[in-house]
Amino acid sequence: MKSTSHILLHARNSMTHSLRSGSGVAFVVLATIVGLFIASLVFMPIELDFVEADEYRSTAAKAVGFVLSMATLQPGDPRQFDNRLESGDLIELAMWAQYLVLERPVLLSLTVLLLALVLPLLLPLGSFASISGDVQHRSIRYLLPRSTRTSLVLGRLLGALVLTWVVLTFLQVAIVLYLGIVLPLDGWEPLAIWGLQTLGVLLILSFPYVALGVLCSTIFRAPMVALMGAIGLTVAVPIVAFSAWRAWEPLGNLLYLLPWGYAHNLLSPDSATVTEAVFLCTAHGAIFTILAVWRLKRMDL
Amino acid sequence: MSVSDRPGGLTALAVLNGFFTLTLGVPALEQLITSRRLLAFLEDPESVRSERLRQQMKSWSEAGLEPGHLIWLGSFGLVVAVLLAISVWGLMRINRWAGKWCSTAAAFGMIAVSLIGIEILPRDNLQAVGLTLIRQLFYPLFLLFMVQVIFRKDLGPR
Repeated sequence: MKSTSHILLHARNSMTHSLRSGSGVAFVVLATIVGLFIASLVFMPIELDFVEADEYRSTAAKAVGFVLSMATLQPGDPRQFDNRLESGDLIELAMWAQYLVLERPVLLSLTVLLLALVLPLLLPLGSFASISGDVQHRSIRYLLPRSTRTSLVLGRLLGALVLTWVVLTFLQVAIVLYLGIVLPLDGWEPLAIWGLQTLGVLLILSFPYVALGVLCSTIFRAPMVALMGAIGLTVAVPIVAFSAWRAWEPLGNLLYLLPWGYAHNLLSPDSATVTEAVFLCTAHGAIFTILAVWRLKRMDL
Repeated sequence: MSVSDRPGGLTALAVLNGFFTLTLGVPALEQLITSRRLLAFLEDPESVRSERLRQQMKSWSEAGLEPGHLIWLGSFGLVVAVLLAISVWGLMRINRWAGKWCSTAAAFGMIAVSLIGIEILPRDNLQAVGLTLIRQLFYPLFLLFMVQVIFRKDLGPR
């Protein structure tokens, strides 16, 4: 009971402190502005009447299919993607892409897909200083006699998660309202339902990346190094995995070091696949959290 | 209060205000220059030498854009940019008036500039600016929240 109240206290203080710190301000402003910028990029061809909605959907279906084929590490030459799609070789991916762009509000699906690619690079901004900031300034020494290391990590993680979720919810609400009012291609009901589902996807996906930020924050004593570590790992994993996959296909599984390997499954039409992806995301976040607790417990502070 | 006591968030807000000073000040100057060109075009269309510029001026004047509107919008934008610039100094020095109240006035000014721009500028210039507008409205609202709520005590009376 006492540890729960400590965790909540740390979470509340962490959120306030985060907003008072430069990293929190940078995170909120950058995540919101980048998110809205991505959305405006997706909406622009329709808004400027460059293409009709039907043409946009068919082009988007091919693009989404290509992205999914890369994300699922499909064997074969990516340059032959169009031919393989037409020959029916990638029928499952084609149906998946059609589900996202034809059966669901296309503009929202594309925005969320792009957000899922970009947000992992921004999310560590909200959590990289959660432990390392106090370690660097040695203020953690004043906290430890009054609280356990476990509740400190869990509280800070919860604070960073809640801040991230508030920002993501604001972003998603702004995008859905804009789509409903200014670009009503699909009507309010499907937009609201898909908006809620994709918000859930973004919230679940944020957990392992925020936990990774906290883990790096316990590994490195300097906040900037922790930030570089978290972003560097997030960028390096797909680059190394794709390069290694070309050399030897099993090495492509390096992608699963982070949610890159299965994050796209959160948007799958198959509910069992989505449930599995949710479980994997939660497990990934839990592993990073356990590692962060273990690391802080062993630290000489 | 020494410089090292300043919360990092105030420094970050000062940097962001500096950035928005430029993003608001430069278009405001551009609007003032455009208003002079439009005025010259309305007096004598041949005085504008560039064919492309002449076409643009023609389309703007046909859309009902008046030089007076642009002068008003540009001047107001410049005033807001100056307020933001003062708030940069105020936030860095943790000064109540320059930091808190100039930021507050600048935030309301930024919102007003965005809304007046929609009212004044020709519809052709406003295609696909909806999310840009939300982006432009987000920062002033965030700035208001930060200086009036989060840094209320830091920027409050001593």
